[in-house]
Amino acid sequence: MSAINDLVRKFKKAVTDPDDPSRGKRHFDWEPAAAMPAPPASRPQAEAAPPPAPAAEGSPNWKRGPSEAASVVGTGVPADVEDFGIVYKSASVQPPGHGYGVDRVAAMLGHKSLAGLDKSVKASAVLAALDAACVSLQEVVHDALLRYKALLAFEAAKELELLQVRPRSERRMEELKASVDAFRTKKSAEVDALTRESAAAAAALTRLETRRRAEEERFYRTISPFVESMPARVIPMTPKPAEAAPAAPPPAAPPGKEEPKP
Amino acid sequence: MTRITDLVARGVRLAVGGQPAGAPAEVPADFFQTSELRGTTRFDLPADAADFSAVYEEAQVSAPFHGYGVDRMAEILESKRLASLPREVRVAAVMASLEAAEVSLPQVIRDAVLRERALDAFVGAKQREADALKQRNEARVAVLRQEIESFVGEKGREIEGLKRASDGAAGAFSQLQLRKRQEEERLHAVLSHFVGDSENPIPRPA
Repeated sequence: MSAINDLVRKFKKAVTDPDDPSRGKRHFDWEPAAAMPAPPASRPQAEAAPPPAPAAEGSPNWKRGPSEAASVVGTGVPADVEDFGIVYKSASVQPPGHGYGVDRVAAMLGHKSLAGLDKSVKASAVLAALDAACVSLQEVVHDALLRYKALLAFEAAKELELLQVRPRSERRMEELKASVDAFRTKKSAEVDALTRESAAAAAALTRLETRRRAEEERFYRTISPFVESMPARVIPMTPKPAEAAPAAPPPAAPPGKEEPKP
Repeated sequence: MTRITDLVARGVRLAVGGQPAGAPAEVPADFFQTSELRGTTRFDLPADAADFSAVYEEAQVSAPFHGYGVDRMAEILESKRLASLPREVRVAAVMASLEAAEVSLPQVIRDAVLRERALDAFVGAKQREADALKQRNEARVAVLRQEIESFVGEKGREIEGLKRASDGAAGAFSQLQLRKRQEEERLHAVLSHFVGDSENPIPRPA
């Protein structure tokens, strides 16, 4: 037991700061319903929470104004936020002024000095430290509960966002698909019309060619019994005088450049 | 080159008798060189004009002498009255009617040449029109296909983006639920050191 007492003393010493003016008993507002968003009705955990109590004067400054909507929690904070501290901050959940919130108590419980000790021993040690700091356990519980509710509200807000985003996206996708179909139909109709026009022109030209051949054949049939083509004129190939003369002997090769003998 | 053009290219020799006295037996090719057709690069008539007479009219092929052109001659030759007679007889009948109409055979041949050239010009013009139309339409079709591709691509990318965002949001929410349970467990565990399960305001996550 002396070891435990020693440990408690160490904790007291570690957490006690007699110069801290903010330390003092504060009114414990167990259920600041006006400040926190209501959890989803379907959640049994939320139903299990105690009924809300009216906020008293001098309540901690982490409470949010009652005019703020619960859905504001998590607005602008992405669902994949890395640190829930940001969520708590956006929900105006701040550690109590004396600094003894649930996170600090968790750190105390996980301190290496208490490692391996029994759960009740750890609890006693922390309680002793809280006592020394004039902090009631209720304040720690309240801090935990605020954070828990902030989490619930954040989750609900994100679920609501998801529920709103999904149909909006689906609606937009349907609009886009419809606009694509309409555009494709309109342009395809134009393409088809142009293709038909070209094909019709080609077909008309083919028919015209056929009719022209028939017309020309009719002309030829009509004319050919009466005439015949003139035979090709034969032009006599008389040699030119220069070509008729015997060819001059080739010039003699320059001296020293005789043609090679075969 | 068409058959009649080919026939008259070097001039023609008249192959039948019964020509008026003093009429030449040969007609030189120059006689068939026509310049009276109007500039025939373009015709207003459509390619499927029902009757070629409109084509000849638009090409300003002058009316045959005394109305006796190649068409009249064809009519006579194909007449039912002459249909059963031998070729020589039909030719003689035509020559007789030509003489009666005071029309020479070369004038009829020239009429045929003129009409054939007008027809050639018409077909050439329509061929050019069809080629130009085809080229124009193909260019327009290419533009339209490009527009379709571009529009579909743009909208497709938007759809993909929406799908990705939707899937990403669902995934992020699942992750959030998981991490929230862990945080709940942590808070519950801290308080469980001091209060019993039934009094713990942070419920144990399911």
